Amino acid sequence: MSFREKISWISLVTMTGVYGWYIWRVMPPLAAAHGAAAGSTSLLVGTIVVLVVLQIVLNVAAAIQSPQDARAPEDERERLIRLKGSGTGFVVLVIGAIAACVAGIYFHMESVLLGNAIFLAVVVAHIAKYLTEIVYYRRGA
Amino acid sequence: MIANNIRRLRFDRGEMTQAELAEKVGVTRQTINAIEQNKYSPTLETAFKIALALEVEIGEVFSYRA
Repeated sequence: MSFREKISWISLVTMTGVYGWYIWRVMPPLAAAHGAAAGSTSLLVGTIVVLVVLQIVLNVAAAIQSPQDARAPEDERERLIRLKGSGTGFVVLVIGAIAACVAGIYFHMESVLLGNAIFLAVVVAHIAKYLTEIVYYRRGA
Repeated sequence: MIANNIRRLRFDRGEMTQAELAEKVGVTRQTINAIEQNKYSPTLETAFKIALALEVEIGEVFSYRA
């Protein structure tokens, strides 16, 4: 497995795990309280910090495992895979953001709930990006 | 589909490894592996670099199958 494929796997697993926990923890109470639940902002910031620290630690570990690969610039195939992943992520993000906005208007969502809905769209878009990259790494670009 | 003889030509060149060819061409070993398995079609520049590294003409490395 190439270094950059490892990074894609690390990103996919950590984002799914950490943000999955956040969404499971925060969304139901927020929805039940119509966005009026307190403390969700600090929980979101804390979640992001945990994710960043986790990804830094795991990326450094991957780089230590294969330092030469980590130092090498991405080659043409890796660049193509990254661009394809970004393309998929962008489409998912646009769909998710529009869906969140429409839902926000239709259900008269409070700002905190709407903000979390848009955040969920960002998370899903990133997961779609990394999933796409991994599929292309495994099956061919 | 673009077919190639990279694997055979590597072995004909003193059993050159994928890693050695990758270093000469400037791509990762995994990219060379993907090319050999027809999972990735290289750019023209990389195709020429592969032919140069294998010391053959590009037509001996790659062929096009409609």
